[in-house]
Amino acid sequence: MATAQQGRRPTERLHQDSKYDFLSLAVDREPGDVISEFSTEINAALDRAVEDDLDVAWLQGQSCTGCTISLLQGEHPEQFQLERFRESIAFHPTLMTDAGDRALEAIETAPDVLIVEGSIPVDVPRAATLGVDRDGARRPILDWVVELAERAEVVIAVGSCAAYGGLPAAGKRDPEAVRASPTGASGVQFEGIDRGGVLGPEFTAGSDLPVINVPGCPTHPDHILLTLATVLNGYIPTLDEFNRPLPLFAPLVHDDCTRRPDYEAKNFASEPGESGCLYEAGCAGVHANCDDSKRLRNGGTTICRDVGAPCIGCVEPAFWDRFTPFYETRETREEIGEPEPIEESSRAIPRPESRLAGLLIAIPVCVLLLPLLPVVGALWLVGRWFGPDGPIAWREDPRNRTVGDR
Amino acid sequence: MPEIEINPTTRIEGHHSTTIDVRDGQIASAKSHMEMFRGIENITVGRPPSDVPQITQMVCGVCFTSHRKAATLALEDAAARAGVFGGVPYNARLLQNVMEGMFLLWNHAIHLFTLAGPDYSDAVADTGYARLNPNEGAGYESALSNQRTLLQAFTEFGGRAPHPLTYAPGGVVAQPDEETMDRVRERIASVDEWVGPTDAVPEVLAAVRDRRGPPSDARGLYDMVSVLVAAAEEGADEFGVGPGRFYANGMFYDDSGGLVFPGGVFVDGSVRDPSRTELLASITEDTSHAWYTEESGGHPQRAPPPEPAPDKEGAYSWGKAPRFDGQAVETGPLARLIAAGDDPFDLRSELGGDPQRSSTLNRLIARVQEFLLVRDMLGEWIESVDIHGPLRAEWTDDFTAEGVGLWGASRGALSHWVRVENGEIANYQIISPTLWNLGPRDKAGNPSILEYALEGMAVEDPRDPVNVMRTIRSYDPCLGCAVHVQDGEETRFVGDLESPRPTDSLGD
Repeated sequence: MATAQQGRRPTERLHQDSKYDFLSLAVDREPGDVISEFSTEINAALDRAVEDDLDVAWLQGQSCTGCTISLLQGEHPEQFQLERFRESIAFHPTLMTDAGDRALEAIETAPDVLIVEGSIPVDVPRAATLGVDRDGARRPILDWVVELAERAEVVIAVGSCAAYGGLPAAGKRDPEAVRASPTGASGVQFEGIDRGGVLGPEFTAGSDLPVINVPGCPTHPDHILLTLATVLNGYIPTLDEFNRPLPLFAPLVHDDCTRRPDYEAKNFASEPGESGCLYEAGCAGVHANCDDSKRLRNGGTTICRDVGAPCIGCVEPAFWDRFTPFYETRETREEIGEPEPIEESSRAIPRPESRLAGLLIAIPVCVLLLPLLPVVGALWLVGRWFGPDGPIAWREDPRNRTVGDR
Repeated sequence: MPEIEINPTTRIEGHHSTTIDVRDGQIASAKSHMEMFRGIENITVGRPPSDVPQITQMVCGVCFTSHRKAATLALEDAAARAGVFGGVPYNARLLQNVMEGMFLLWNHAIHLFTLAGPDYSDAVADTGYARLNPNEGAGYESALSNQRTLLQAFTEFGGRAPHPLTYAPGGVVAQPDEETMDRVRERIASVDEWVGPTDAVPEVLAAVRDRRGPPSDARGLYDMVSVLVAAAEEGADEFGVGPGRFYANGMFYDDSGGLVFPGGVFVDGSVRDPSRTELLASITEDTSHAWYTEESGGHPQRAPPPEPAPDKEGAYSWGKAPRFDGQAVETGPLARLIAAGDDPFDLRSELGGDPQRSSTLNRLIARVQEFLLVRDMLGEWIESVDIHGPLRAEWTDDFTAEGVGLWGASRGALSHWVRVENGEIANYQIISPTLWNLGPRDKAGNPSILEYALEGMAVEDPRDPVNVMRTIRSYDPCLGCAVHVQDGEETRFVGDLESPRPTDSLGD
């Protein structure tokens, strides 16, 4: 496992004897498969956090607690995973048993993993506080985050508010906004699409990693679980330009959308709740990067488009400004200088009626291509071996592009 | 005498702390602090009305659908006044009944088992009720699993949860088909199986009291009733006693154009149902102890632009103090059941001592009663939705008018107040249930409902004021939504504008 060793984090505290880098494993698999296939190993990673006294602290800034509630909806594979997750987090204001000083004592002064939910009010620090300092003054979350982040091995921003500022920062970047972000809300290491935020663009935690962003409004429970289990196992996730774990946020929502055939056929709905592709009803799926289209939400039940709701782009920085008004047609990818995603992802879910036809075509094609397999395999290995940096980035990175000027 | 600051209050949604001044083993005074402000209402200003339900829903990741519902009601009211909206199809209201019903069951289950329940578990208070223990209690575990199932059923219409996407002004934009309805029925049937039959309440109550194990066909009911019996054994009928004034907004639509649970006000020992005009005129907000300027208070539709004042002398909360006819009133399931004149199985009379008593125990009992009442109506609502019928009326954002949305959210009376000018939001205001229950004092020094309920309470161990925590949590406080302030004009913060700075004041 030479490539895996490369990705092993250098710090001692989180150095674990485990070969499982769950985010790398996600590269070649369908969304959802890593969690069901490696549930035992994921649980083992969380168990070690408890047994080895790894400290995980979960702070809430200007949050709605939606990301925590989303976490409670994580289904794969069984609920016991959640139990281990909760046990491994020493301080969580919504889920813990203690209150007051006893609760605060559970926050280690140097947590191994610091998780932040909610934005941080920079202009009005008093707009989100936790506990009091030695002088009895309310202690701003801003101070907690700055202090604990400097001592943490890994910092994870959960949800779009902690990652990029989110709703409390809406309008902050828009000169035409009437009233914008009255508290100066900021993400932990980003303000909208710009690096910076509370900790500044140069910040790295003890592991030499910047803040890992796991956005979404709310975040997907699988995304938190896979990211946390990976760092607890001592691996450094490869991040995209907005510091999101790459495998989870590489596909466009549009890529694997079940309404994709309607898009290709230019069969557009004019309003949410109608049949057809929702692009003209405001769908941001052609601009939003996450694997929700196949991962789905609430234990694989549905995702927005299944009920006729256009994607609001909730995983993207500054989506409250970039994708509003929500129900107006978004700019095309061409208009922001992006390639039109013409080809469907190779992992697209075939519609039932097309499955048989696909199979009939696929079998002879596979037979014809079989002799080429050794050549493709060799090329793949070479590509992987000499890839730019480590076990994930060998894959073509669709995120190597800039967001359109706003 | 010790002044105790409990900061943070945990196992609630959001940031809260409580200061209690204990003299001679009794709480002489209490202060309820809301510790967070985001300015969500500000952010709606200048945006199109259709975007507002999405924005205000994100106020709270726990009561998301309640805020989305109240926002659509406020906009529908305004558009109707402007003459550009003809009303929501009853079929869409039925689908909203289904969604709100599943949501209420989910919310009450989360509260009873994960937020309030641990206070009565063996793990926290040696009560002997080990099934309620967080982490490994069997009752707690099955509740966690069933809350997931409830939200999965909700998601069939909402797309995802928290933060669904389908309520819109004019109705619901969901696209249910027969398969959707079958999956919803299946999920609700499995939750029903967990809860057990409502008729079993007396039998289950006896089983809990006799410390017999749960009957196999009513495990959920057994655990919910266990919370109540444990609370009664801990004396919760005697503490957390509020002033006994209640206010409820109605909820769920019936086929006669009314609401299944009526709204109402209970003051001076009797219930009355004020007209909408009277109700709206009676609500004011006071900012004398909130971090906003004095001028920011008043009637939510007429108040001048509120201005935050983070360094204001005497202020101690980011919540304003809402008042009904100048008085603090309690809201929540207990208020709703008092307004409806209902006490299923006489639980509040017999277990709680008095059906109209404002106590920590009665708040918990009312939540269980309401859970069962709504559960028993849900199946009928599901069957009455016509998936081929209209789910949304035509809607335009282009109008100028004011509107108010009143709704019975799971935590109590919620109101959204909106002013739309030429298709843009000019003014927005939210008064949440938690603000009614946990706000600060008013100008006359009259305490909020929580502050009133805490004052005079005996505190045996100031280091572990367990009954104080039980009382706070009995209101199911949710503070994401208690943020405040909006207006249509530019105002700026004064005072604290420091840049981020590291500190070394952590106790290490």
